[in-house]
Amino acid sequence: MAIKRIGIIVGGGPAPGTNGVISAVAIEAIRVGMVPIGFTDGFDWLAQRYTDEQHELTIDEVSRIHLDGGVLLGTSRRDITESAESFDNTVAALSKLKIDAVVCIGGDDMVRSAAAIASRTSIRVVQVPKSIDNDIRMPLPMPTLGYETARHAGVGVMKSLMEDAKTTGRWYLGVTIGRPTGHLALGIGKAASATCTIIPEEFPGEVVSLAEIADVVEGSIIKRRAMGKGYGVALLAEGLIDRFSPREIAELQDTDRDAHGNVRVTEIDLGRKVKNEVQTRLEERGIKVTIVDKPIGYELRCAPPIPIDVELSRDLGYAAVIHLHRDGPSALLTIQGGECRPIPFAEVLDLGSGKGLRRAVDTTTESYQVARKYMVRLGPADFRDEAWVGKLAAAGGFDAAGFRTHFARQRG
Amino acid sequence: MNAGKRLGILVGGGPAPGINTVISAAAIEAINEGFEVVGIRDGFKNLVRMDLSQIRPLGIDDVSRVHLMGGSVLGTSRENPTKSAEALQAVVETLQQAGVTHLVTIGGDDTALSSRTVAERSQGTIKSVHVPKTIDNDLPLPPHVPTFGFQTARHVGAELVRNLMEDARSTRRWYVVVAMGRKAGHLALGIGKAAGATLTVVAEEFPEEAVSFAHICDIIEGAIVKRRAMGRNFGVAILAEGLIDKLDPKELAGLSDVERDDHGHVRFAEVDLGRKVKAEVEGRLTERGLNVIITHKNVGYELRCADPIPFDAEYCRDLGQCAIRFLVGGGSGAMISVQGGRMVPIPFDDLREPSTGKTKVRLVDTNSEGFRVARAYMIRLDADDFVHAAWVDRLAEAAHLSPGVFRQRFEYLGGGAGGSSAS
Repeated sequence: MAIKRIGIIVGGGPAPGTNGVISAVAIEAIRVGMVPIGFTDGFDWLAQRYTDEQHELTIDEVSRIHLDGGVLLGTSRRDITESAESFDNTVAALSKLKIDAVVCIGGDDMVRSAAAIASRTSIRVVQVPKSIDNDIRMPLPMPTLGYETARHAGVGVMKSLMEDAKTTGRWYLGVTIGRPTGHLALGIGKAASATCTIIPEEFPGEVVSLAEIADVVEGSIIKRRAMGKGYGVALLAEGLIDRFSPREIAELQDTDRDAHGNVRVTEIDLGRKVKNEVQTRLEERGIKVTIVDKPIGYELRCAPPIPIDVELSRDLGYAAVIHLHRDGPSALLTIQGGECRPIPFAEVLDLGSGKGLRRAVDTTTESYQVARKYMVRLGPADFRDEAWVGKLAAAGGFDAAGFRTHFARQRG
Repeated sequence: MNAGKRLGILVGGGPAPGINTVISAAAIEAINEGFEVVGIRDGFKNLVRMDLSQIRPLGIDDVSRVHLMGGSVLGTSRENPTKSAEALQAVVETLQQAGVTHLVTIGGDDTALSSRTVAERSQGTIKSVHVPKTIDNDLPLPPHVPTFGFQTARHVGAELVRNLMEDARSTRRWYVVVAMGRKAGHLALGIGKAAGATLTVVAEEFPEEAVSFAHICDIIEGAIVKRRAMGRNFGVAILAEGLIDKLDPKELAGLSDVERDDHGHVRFAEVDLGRKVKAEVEGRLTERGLNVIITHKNVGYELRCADPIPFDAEYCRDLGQCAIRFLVGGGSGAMISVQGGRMVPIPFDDLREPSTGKTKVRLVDTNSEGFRVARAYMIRLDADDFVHAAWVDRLAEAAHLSPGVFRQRFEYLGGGAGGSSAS
């Protein structure tokens, strides 16, 4: 059955390249005789059965937006599977607007809504994998749309911080968004050559403690001191928070009180907590190191896309329309080796929870090993040579035995 | 013609884009003038410790390609040699031992004072010139002359804010961005005006001694409400860090975070103004059933070591060159500026308030045309917003308040500094 009206819906956090997909889908849809309808603010209005927050896209409106950051149509995190009502409203609104197919541009959260429409209605759905987190379950090396630009812009920020650290003789503690995985942190840290990057995937156990993270940072600072360098930049993946025990979370949360006396719990400020812990440990042993924490993330999500993402966005948008035009089944769309490869929704959904599956950083890869090789961190090799242990201990304000005990985790 | 003369270059204070350009230009010009040039690492730190090993020759090859790089190839430090007579003596002796006859210092007001004091204490054996550097743009120069590094920091900051504006629009939220700049609001306003942020609040707007935290929150809440009434539920507000200095000290204590570490130590962190404003304003709005997402973000450290934009690359060449011209001409004990393409040395005494001895701080001039333009394009509650009853009704509705309560809460904002200038 020929598709007459194709909807475009953007969900989740913004990512560079989204406008390129909107542009390519609209242009290609018009070319093959479909009417492209752009929906405002993701599923937000549809889930309330509003049918007004949409408009027909024209080539004039979209032909010059592919190099712009942001999302022309706006986005939201509305998940239509949250209630039967939201889902029914959405389907009713889409039916009323005579939408036969939808291109969803979004991440692992959006998969749920996209797959639900695909499996429970006659509307065909193609999702374009968009996320600066690079964590949608699909084969490597394909990045999710927007990741490369976010990484690129993040490296720009890091470059300044690294130069600043060197110039002022201090440490920066960057914290990158991208929960719960470490792709963005590692991508930025590896490309910028941060002194060390810490991601959740490197810890084998279920739970990660603040003390363990502080050990790594403190160890790096001491090792650099022993190497004659009193500065550096450590990068933490914010996703480390998701591995804290409930008790630790309760202890680390900041509470602010507003004018009405309401307590407002803010997210754990990972950078500040690690900074305080490490600085205190060092100060107790008479070592003064300036550490400044710096969250990195929101300023990356709407950067203008770099060419990698511009090209990928065009490929994905075009492929989405052609796939539907050729009667392809509902799927998550990827481009692998220049070819369009649809992945059935069933393969990217956790059937138990109904959530989108993610891919974590694979720490067994060469690529991760290379990243680790160039980091300056304490490892088992640092504990073999007595003279070096002595030097490290002195740099950390310990005696050799005290140093070994303190860094038992790093000795392996 | 300057045979036997040795020029030392050192950098003090926080980094600013263009430092390497000044180092490069000064070194090349000095070498061409017959000086031997040495780079002194990490400001006055090693000099105070009488460590000669950190004074090393600088050749043209060392500096000819660094002019477009951020950071400082000579490092920097906040070591203050004027803190004690011994420290000062150590610096002078170490420089004399190293054969330094001329000194170029690059830094902020503290480094300027050190530069002058060292020259004085050397009793004419060391001549010094200071090149003022700060991304804060707060030195007492004529209004049209920026401090070097400011334009680059503003440029990079405006790009970050542009991304946040796009993000706010795409995700329908507000960003509250706190920009560095110490007491002065130049960087905040420079970024906000260039990027077209919804509004920028600087400390200079408040002529009174102290500003209350509630007042700052009223301005932000008012802007959010006004934008809602205009059909826009997103925006970016920029706050100057200097606002923290203007908060009532009593209030400040209540806003400080108390950190307790594993060892039971209590430490006071700096006031996280952005987070506090977010919590307060979100709380007020939620109370009235308005769900507005506010995200806070600090901007500053990532700007200080950016590669200089062409403006600073050119300007810093001028400054470095002029510093040497000034010394070659027999000058000493001044700060170099370039105004309208011409070198203008400024005596150190002109930098200080005669009464207090403190460095004069150039603040944002809220009576200037430049500020009025910035203010005119901001979206904030102004006197005009309280003229027409129909508009007040609409604003009150957007705020989930009755018109009476809305006036009571916000009408005072229209009477404040610059309030009517947006008309």
